[in-house]
Parts: sequence; C-alpha cells; structure tokens
Amino acid sequence: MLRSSIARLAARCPAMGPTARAALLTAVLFFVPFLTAHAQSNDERPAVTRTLAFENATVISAPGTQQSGVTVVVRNGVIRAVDTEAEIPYDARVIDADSMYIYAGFIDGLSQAGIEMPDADDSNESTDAPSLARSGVQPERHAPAFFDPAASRVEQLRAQGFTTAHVVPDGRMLPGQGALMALHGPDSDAATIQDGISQFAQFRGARGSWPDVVAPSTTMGVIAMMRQVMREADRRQQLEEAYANNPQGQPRPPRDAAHTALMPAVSGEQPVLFAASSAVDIRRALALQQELDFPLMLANLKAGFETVEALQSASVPLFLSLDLPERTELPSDTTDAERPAPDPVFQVGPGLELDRERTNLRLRLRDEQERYIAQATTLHEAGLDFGLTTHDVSPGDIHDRLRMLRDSGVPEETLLAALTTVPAQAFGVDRRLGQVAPGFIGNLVVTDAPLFDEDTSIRHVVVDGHLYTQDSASEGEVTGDAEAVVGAWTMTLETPQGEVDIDVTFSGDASGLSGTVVGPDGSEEQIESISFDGETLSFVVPGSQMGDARVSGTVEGNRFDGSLSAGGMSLDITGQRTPPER
Amino acid sequence: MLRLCTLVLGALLCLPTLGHAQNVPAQRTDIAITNARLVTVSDGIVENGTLVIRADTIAALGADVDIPSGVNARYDAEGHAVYPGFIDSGTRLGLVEVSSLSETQDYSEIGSLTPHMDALTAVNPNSISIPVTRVDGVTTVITEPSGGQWPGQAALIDLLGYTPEQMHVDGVRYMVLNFPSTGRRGTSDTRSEDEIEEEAQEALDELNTLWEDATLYADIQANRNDDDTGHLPEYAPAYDALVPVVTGEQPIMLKVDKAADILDALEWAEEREILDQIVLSGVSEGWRVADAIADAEVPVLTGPVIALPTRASDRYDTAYANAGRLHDAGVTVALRSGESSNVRNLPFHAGFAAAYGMGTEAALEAITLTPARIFGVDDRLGSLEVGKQATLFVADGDPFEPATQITRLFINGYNVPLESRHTELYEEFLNRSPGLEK
Amino acid sequence: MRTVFLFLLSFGLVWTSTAQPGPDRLRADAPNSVLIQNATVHTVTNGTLDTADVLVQDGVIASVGTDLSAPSGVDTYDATGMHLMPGIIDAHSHIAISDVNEATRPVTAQVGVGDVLDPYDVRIYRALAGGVTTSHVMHGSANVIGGRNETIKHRYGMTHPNALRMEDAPRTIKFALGENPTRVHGESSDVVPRTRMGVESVIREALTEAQRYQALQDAYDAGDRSAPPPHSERLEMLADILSGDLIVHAHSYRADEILMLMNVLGDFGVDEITFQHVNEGFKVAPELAEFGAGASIFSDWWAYKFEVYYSTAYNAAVLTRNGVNTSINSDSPDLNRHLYHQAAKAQRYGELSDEETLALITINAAEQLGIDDRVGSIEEGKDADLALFSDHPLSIYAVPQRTYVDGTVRFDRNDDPDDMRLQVDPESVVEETVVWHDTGTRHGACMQQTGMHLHANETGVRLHN
Repeated sequence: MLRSSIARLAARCPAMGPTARAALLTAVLFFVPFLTAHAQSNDERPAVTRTLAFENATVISAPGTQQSGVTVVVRNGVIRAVDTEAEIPYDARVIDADSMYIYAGFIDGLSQAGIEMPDADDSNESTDAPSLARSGVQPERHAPAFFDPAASRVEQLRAQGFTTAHVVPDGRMLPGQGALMALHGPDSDAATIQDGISQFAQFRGARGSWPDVVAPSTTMGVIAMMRQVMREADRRQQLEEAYANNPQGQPRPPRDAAHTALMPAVSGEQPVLFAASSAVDIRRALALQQELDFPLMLANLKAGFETVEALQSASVPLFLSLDLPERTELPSDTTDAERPAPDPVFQVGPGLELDRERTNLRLRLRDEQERYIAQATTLHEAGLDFGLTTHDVSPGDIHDRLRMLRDSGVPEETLLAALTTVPAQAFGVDRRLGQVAPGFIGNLVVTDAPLFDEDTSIRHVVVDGHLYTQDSASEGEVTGDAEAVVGAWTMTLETPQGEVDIDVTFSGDASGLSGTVVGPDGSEEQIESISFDGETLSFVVPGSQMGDARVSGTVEGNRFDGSLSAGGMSLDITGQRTPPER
Repeated sequence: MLRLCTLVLGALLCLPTLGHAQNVPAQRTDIAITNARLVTVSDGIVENGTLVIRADTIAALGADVDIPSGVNARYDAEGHAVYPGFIDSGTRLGLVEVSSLSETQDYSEIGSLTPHMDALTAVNPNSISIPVTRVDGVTTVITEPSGGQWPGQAALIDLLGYTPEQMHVDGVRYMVLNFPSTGRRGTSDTRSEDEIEEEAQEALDELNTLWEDATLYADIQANRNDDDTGHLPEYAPAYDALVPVVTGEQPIMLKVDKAADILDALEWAEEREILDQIVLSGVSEGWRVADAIADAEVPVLTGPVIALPTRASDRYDTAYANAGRLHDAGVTVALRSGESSNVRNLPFHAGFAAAYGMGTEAALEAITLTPARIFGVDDRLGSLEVGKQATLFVADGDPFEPATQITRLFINGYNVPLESRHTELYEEFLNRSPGLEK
Repeated sequence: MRTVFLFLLSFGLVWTSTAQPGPDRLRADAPNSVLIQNATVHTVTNGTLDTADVLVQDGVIASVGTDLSAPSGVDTYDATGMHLMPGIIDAHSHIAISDVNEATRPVTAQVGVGDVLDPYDVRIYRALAGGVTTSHVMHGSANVIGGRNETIKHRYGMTHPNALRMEDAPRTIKFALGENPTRVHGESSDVVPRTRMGVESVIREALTEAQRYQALQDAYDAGDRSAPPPHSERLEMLADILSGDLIVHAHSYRADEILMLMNVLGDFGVDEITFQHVNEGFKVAPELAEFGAGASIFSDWWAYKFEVYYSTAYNAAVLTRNGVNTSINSDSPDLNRHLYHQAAKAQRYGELSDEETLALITINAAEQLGIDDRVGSIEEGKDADLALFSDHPLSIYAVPQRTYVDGTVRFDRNDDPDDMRLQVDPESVVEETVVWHDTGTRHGACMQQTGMHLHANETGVRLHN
C-alpha cells in the first residue's frame, strides 16, 4: 500500500518538485529487490498425505447443479471422486463437510498477484533512440518469470476462494505474456498451469516523466506503436518463412525477441488481452483488433454497459472488473427503495432552483454509479458471457462486490460461472478447471453456507489438492485497552532516502480494532489484523502488488516505537498519537 | 486613418498616415464636439448634442450649448455617439508585455504574503498593449497583481501618461486578497476533494492568524509614540502594508469564484465587520448566491463574461448570464475582462452580458458609472457630466458591436491618436511595398 | 471514403464496416427533415436572402427559396426575425479527443488524434451551442511534425467514435514551427531543433527519409527487391504527405518560418497547405496568395509569446484583401463557442463585409479542410448543417437558438436541459468547480500533454498555442 501509493503520488503529482519526486521514487524502488528475493518460508513440515476427502458435503459441481450428501476425494492434486457413494481412501485426511458447500476454485481473469517486476534501469538508455523495452514493448517476457506464489496478494486472493489466476507481468503497453497460475506452490514453475495464455496489452504510455520520456506517451501513441510492432512482426514472419524456404543468397532476416514474441498474436495463435475499462478504451481495443486482426480478449471492463452492441458483434472473451464505485448518498428526501429518476430535462430557470439542481445532479450521479454496478447485469441480459477480474480490487472487498453484482440482477449461477466455467473455457482449460468433477484439478472452495449469502465464510480452499484451512486467528486480537490506541497517529517511516510520513487512524473498542492508513498521496487503505495486548501493537497494511507491510511495536503514552517489515527487510517506524476528543 | 483625417476639422492636426503612434503626442486643446449623440450614462441620451472640452474637463454638454469663446476647435461628429471612457475592473495591463516571457512578467512576486507589492510601481506606461487597448474605447483599468494569498495592491490607471503617477487615478489602490478557494485550478488540478478542503482550511487559518497578527502590529505601531524608552518595535514590511487594511482605511479586493467560497468570504468579512471595506472580484459562481451578495451589499467586479462555465454540469451560458443574474438580484455589478493584452475586448464582454440577460443599459453602466462609483472616482469618471474629466470617445455606432469604429478618443482632455501597433502594421502591410517583386 | 479506402488498401487491409453509428443518447428520435421558414438566410456563397425558407430533407438541404412548402411528415419551424447561416466550421480545435500531444519526438507522424476520439466530451455540445457543427480536431504543436488530425461533425449524443468522423474529409497532419518545437525538444530535451534552422532541417530530413522509404517500397512492389523495407508507421504517413494524400496544416507564426515551409514543400512537390495561427501571415500575404496557401488565424490573440508580439488584429483583413483564403479558428474550448463573434471582430479591424466575414468561419474553412463540397454554405445538396441566431450572427447581441447537424437539431436554446453530459464519472462529486479565470491566463490548448504543465504556476501555463 505504502509503496504503491508513493508510486501513484510520484506519477500523478505535478505539483511536487522533482527532488521530492525523485526521493519518493527512490524509496519505492528501494523495496523492490528485497521483495523479489523473498521466497516462501512456511510449508517446511513434511506432508502427511496428499489425499483429501470432504465427507457428506453439498457440492455445486458446476453452475446450476447442486447435490447433497456428496463426498469429494482429491488425490495427488486431482479430483478422483465426486459421489454420494464415494469410497474414502485409507490415506485420506477426512474432513467432515456435513454442513458445507463445495465449489470449484475460482479463476481470476486478470491479475498481477505475486508479480514482482525487476527494477528498470534507464540510466544508460537514450531517450533519443529508445529500445522497444524502454517504450514499453516487452512481449517476450513471461509472467511466470516474475511470479512468487508466496506473495501476500496470492495468499489474500486464495483466502477469498481464488485458486487460479490469469497472471500478467506489470509494465506499460505490452508488458509481456500472461500465464494461468495456480495460487499455490513451492515456486513459480510448479504453479504454472499454462504459460503464454495471452499477450497482455494496455493503453499505457512508456515510463518516465517530462522531459525524460519516450514514445509512446499517450494512448494515441500506444495505438500507433501497436500498429508499428504488429505490422513489423508480420513482415518479419513472412521474411523468416521465405528465408526458411530458400535461404541461399538471401540476407538473414532481422530478428529480435520482441517481434518474434508477437508473431503468434499476429498469426492468430495467441490472443491479445487488452485491459480496457472505459467505453472509449473498449472501442479503441476493438478498433485495433478490427484493423490488425488479432485474437482479442477484453479485461478489466468497467463501462461495458456503454458498448453492448459492439461487444455482441465482437464476440470476444470478456472479464469484468470487480472494482465498483461507491454509491453516493441520496438526497435526504429520497430513499433507496424509491429513488426517483433524475429529471432529464432539468433547467435551473429564472427562479434559480438550486436545491432542485443539486438533488437532480446527485440523482444523476447515483444513476451513473448504478449503471457501473449493473454492468454485469446489462451484459448478462444482452446474452454476453463474462468472467471477472480482481485487478484494482482490495481482496477483502471481493465477496461484497460479488453480492453487489448479484443484488443488481446477475443470477448467482451466472456469477459462479463467471468465477469458474467461463474463464476456464476462455483460457482453453475447461477440461481441467472450473468444475468439481473427477479428473479436474483439485481446486475447491469450501464454505459454511451458500456462497453468495451475506454471512458466508470460506472454511477451506484447496489448490492442486493442497488444503488451506482458514485461520480465524489472523483477524487480530485486542486484549489490551483499546483506548490507548484509538485516534489519529502520524507515523514516520525511516527509509534510507529519508523520512516518509503516513497518517494512521484506529477506531473501535475491546471487541476489535479497525484502522485506515493514508499515504502521502491521500489514498486510503484499510488496515488488517490489528492486535494490541496493552503494550504491543501490531497490524498489517495489505500490499497491492508488492506484498504486505507488517508493523509491530510498543505503545507508550501517545508514542509508538517499532518496526515495519516488508519483503524481508525491516525499517524503523515511530508514531505520535492525537487521541480523539471527548 | 484616412477616415480620421477626413473627419478632423478646424485647427486640429491631421495626423500623418504613416508613422508611429508613440511619436505623435496626444494633444490637449479646447474643443467642441458637435452634432453628436451624447450617451451620458448618468442622464440619458442627448441627440444632436454638443460637448465642450476645456483643458481636462467637460465644460458643457447638451442639445443647446453655447460654445464658449476661446474654444476654437470643432469636431463634427456627424451624428456619431459620444461615450464616457470604458472602465475595466480587473486586468493585468501594463504588468506584462509578453505573457510567456518571465522577463516581462511583473504581476506575481515570490511568496504568498506580499501585500507590500504595489502594482503601480511595475506598470509600464509604454507597454505596447496600452494603445492597443485605448483605441477601442477602454480608457481606464484596474491593474492587479496576483499569486499567493496577499499578492499586493491593485491600482486604477488611465491609459495615457508617461509615468505611472501620471496614469494613476485619484490614488485608488485596492489590497488584493485571494480568498481560500475550494475550486479546482484548471483541469490539470488532480487533488482529491479532501485535499482541496484541507488546503483551503489551512489557508483560512493562515489568513485569520495573519489578520490577528497584523492587527497587533498596527496596535504596536499606534502605541509607539507613547513609548519613551527608545525601544524599536519589530519591522515587517508585509504587516506595514496591512496596517491600513486592518484599521479599515484601505479597501480590499477580495478574489473569490466558487459559490461556497463566496458565502464563506461574506461570512468572514461580516465577522470582522468589514463588509463595507470589501469588493468581490471574479465571482464566476456569483449567480448561485446572488441574494446573499445583494443582502451583504457588497459590490462585485465580475468577469470575464465570455468564459466557460465552472462546472461540467452547468448550462453552457452560465458565465455569459452571471452578470445579469447578479444585477437582477440587486447586486452592484462592474465588469472585468481579466485580460492583459486583449483588454480591448471589454466592450464585447459587456455586450455578451447585455445579450444574456443584463440588458444594454445595465451592461453599459457596468463598465462606466458603476465601477467609477465603486472605486470612488465618480466625481471625475464614468459618465458625461459637466465638471467631469474629459475621458470619452466617439463611435460611429454601438461600441458593443464589433463592426463599430471608434473615431475619436480623449483621455483626461488629451486628444489621443487612434494608433497602436495593430493599426500601424495594418497601414504598413495592407498593400505591402515592395510586394512580390524584388 | 475514397481516400480512406485507398489508405487502408495501401496496408493490405480489409475494410470491415465497423462504423456502426451506435446509440444516439440524445436525439435518437429527432427528425432530420425540417422546413425552416421566414429567416434571413446568409448563404455565404449566394448572398443573403431576406425572409426565405430552407427545406431540409433527410439531412440534406433540399431547397432554398421563398414560400416553400413542407412535404407531408416534415415539420416546419418559424424562424421569423431570426438569421440562418451555415453551420460554423472550426478549422483548429482540440475538443473530443483524449490526447493532444505525443510530445516525445520532433517527428511523430505515426500517431493520429482520430485514434482517440472521445464522443463523450461535453465541449462538443458547448461548441454546438455556439453554432459550430464541424471541427478540425488537431494534434498539438509540440512537434515539428506532429500527428494526424481528424475532421469531425458535432453529432453529440452518438457514442461511437466513428459517428463523429466526417466521412470523405481529406486526411490532414499537423506541423509546428517556431517556439513550441524548439522549446519542447531543443530547450527541454537537447534534441534538434533548437532553432528555426533546425526546424527546417528536421522537415527536410523527414521528408527525404520518406522518399527513400517509398522508393524501397516501390522497388519491392515492382519485384526489384526481395524484401520490403522495415515497416515504419511514421514513414508511411510522411510518404502520404509527398503523394498528396495527407494535407499539411502547419502551426506557424513568423513570416520567415512561413516562407521556409512553402519553400520546403515546394521542393518536395507538395503544393497544398494551410497555415494555422499564422499571426505574421499579413507580412507575407502576397507570398501566401501566390503559393495558394490557406491561412487559419485567431481573430485577435497576440502577445502571449514572443513570436506573436508583432501581431495585428487586422490580419484577417490584410490576408483577405491580398487574396489569401483565410479562416478564423478557436484552438480553444471557450472561443469555439463564439466563433461568430470572433469573426465579427474582422469588421472592427479592417471593415470586412458581412459576407467576407461569415466566410471566415464557414466556406473558407471548408475549403481549407477540403470539405467545401459538403459544408460551409447554404446550398441545395449540401449537408444540412445550419446555425440559427436570434439576430445577425455578427452582432454582439446574436444569441444562437438552434444548431442542426445533418438536419437534426443538436442544440436548442429553449429545450435543452442544463446538464448535457453524456456520462458522469462515478467517482466524481456533484459540486466540482473548476475556476478558469485567473487574470490573463486564457489561451489555447495546443501545448497540452507536453509536460509543460510542470512549468505551470498559479498564474497559468507558460506556453501557449
């Protein structure tokens, strides 16, 4: 959180002086190498058995089917039996699933969980004749090379029931190829289900800030560069074919990794997965596909409701964002149940009805928010299938967002399909993933109530036959006097590049503490796992892509003194509290 | 220019058709303008009237005027209209020559607290923009410093003179205060709403602290004579400049645009009991809180009129209609162009205000008599009245209409040549010689 | 369509008709036929008709005359006392696009603003509210050779970008001379050009490279080479300039650089160009006229930078009198709302006739954009792009009443709601206010996205136009 908010700040804040920006960026970059070095540290205990049996469960083997009293057997990572009569193997770890519901593990359509990119070194790069990599064209990279299954985001997604993710490298316009990864494993290789699933693309210009920028710096620059590299890849592919047929007397065709990596997309063998949230970006991606004729997938859609007809005629796999807007409060004289429509022809008029204007604008804003929230419903009603992506979403919010979709009108069956069978089919793994059925990979989500019910908890997640049981202790425990902690803290993190201030606020009582942290750019994140025993305060700031930051230290009066550990390194952190007013 | 020559009668110079405006001095000659439509602003329109200028003053005007002996020069206006010179209530004229060149920018000093900066000091009387402005009938302007919370003091100047003092009108100086804003500063301002609120609150706290400190400073200065120990009080030029402000002697030009900020500003001024000491400037969302402004009886200098709405959800013409709506609510409204090199467009801003609800008469007042009253110079400017300063122009039609030509200009009794860089370049290049041939 | 089609063929592409109009969010049910009666009709090309009628059928001007009758099913609109003129054409705008400047290199012909059209931009509507029906949406002026521009019609309400494109409009590309490219590249990045000499050199090099590229391509096509040259989007576009398929619109100010570009283009056999801004065009009006170059200018902007210090608001008059095709443009999301007023200033500064003045924002601009067969005047057979005013459009008291695009009302002063946004950012707040008007900061949009905003202070952006 901290690092990503610093990075966002540095990217976004033109008001900051270059020195401040540089210092922040350095602080950010400082973390990264440590994080990549960070490997998994648990699971050192030897496995007792690789056979699991959930006994007497309610199984939703595929969307729309449900059967009770079923026993599910997983052995060596594969589902062996799903049957009321299934025999429980002698070596099974048996779990009484009497009141439990078993679903296929969820598949995230677009994720950067576990991805840690190496520090880009531009120091020797000329902006005059930039390399393709400097321009953000790095299609030769593969996500597994940068994937760490022990990263906290992997753990967090898994805790929400995701067992598989289409993971893509981070970068600019063409960051590299996505892979279908198991959200579990001793290492990236073991977690790789299928590499080269997609060529990831986004409308994102090259790194850098003025004047150290290279093309493309704009969306139109990205589009031009897409044409350039795709057409050149096409030309080179033809040259290579001609050369292969008749090399004698011909110069060897030019060759580089980037163009070569694009050839499968150019020749229609590998889809380009475009992240496109807004209506105009969706249309731009579709226009590029029409023009350059590559297989396309669209991901991270937010305003797809605006482009229904275009999506219908394009008929490409879609992955909708779970990042939904917060609903603006309605004017006081209206209620959710009877929310009036905004007056579409409202004019303030000579009587200056400004109160009515304000009400109307709030209703309109709310209407627009509802359109975003109802994107999935709109597409569903238009007969479009879709998967989902957790990109940009805080893992803790995922199930809340899913219920928002359900409440807006998406049938639960469709939602479950969006989490399981639809992505499995889109990625061509529907014979291995997406169902609770014999022969499928042993990926399960086990809940204590129907999945989309309000108070449902996920009790177990199985990935590749490996059991993860939810540990409720990680919620954090307050045994000390919460009053000693509650209030606004200014915490100062000592980085080698200088101090960074963070605002932390705790609220709550002995029954539990909650908190938020506000980074230097004003972005706010929820704090997790807050524990306080009267002396030691510890909490976790969930990381976005770079892992969690764990803070622990002692509280004395209004002072806090402790350390922050993230990515295998530790920094001193101190704090000063302003207690709440009485 | 040819037109001018044909119109010039009597003893006046026929200016040469080529040459440089700055080389031809303005002349002060007693003169009678006859056969004119006198748009007095203060007292209706006199058709076929005569207006007599003696020295710097309007000596007589009316339908039947005996031209005093000794006034030998005549100018037959051929039915054209005479207007009092237009007053722009907010510009940067004379403080910048070429907007992009920092070497020529003299409107914004370093720091947020610079009330001791005096715009008049930096007014360049020879700015090329000054003749460009006045030949279109804008004769008097407020020129403002900007930047920070207390940018300095704005001055009222006539657009004729070779020293700032010569141009300065009746010593009018306003202390400019940029009231803390919760608006966005253009589309590239990406602060969150919370950040904006927080910064505005900090700025308001700063403003209040400053006001208290300046008041204490003023008290100390006032008590200084009672002291016989020889102890010197602290010296702070910024506070020195604020002494007349906190003691109520100098008016404040309070710059504010967003509706909520306007209400905050009025409340702030009311708490300090200085409502009668402030004028509001900018006020682009004034129409949203027009009644509150009217109730506070605070005059408003608003504009630019020809401008974009402040909100994406706004009706497209809110900026055009703002002045008229304020006027309708009973607010005293003067107009400002907010320009530097194109202050000449002030009559067009007034024309848009007129067309979008204000009406021609009120819009005319908003760039003549109303600002003269607000600035306390209506004894000499703002209308055609006997005894007032002869700052006026002759136009062959409605000066709000783009097609209208200004045919004669007097500032403070000086007959000012209708020449500027723009007319000079026109004269030189309309039929360029040599043309294509070598 | 022809040129677009050729362009696509040149890449071996198949034209798939994806130009679905998409839903019209505002005027889906509005008719595109109407009989406008009893207006003063400023045809621009055929004089002014008092109390005349204009019949629009299916988006096209069917007839212009008196006492016309409406065919059955066609509504009439009584415009007694009103003035009707052709829809206004803004030859230089930056509305309706997500990006303005790909400011990363001195030559970026490979990009085009047509790729990033934004039909949701409420500024399209605001232009309509000023009678503007067509905009030449341009790349910015950061680069010597910038990107391709796009000529759009203001079909506000349609949400498909393709619905904005003006079919058949010739393709154009932005050049920029003088201070902006020398500042962005030379001064800030230490890349040629730093001087106006460098600007010329950059253009000559780029066009020469394009010649060589095209020669290799031609040789390959003729079978004289075994391989095509390495693909270059940039050189493809530059080659289109040489073949006359891509028309140059050059941001320029000073007389010398205007002459330079005419010389350079002449050397490369390019004979069509329109100069944009061209504040010192009046100084070289005879040369512009002789070359046949167009001039698209500001009405009265000057002194915002050194290269416009020696300007005159009489520019339109001098150019017009010297036989240069001249238009007045906005380069601004504010000015484009009152181009009729901007043009009217040519009457104060040089006393152009009504017809000459109206031509500055209609037929002249249409000619510069190569769309005068479709728009720019009220003539039978032309698109029914019309602007209806309460008064003579050159009067300060003129208030636009209705604006038609292809015969469909897309602005109606009386009927339109206040809030004309097509979409609302779901993360926005209701009362978001942007205060534009700090003193003296109101100039155009040409330098967006150059990073030059880093030089901005509270007094505004330092680089303009």
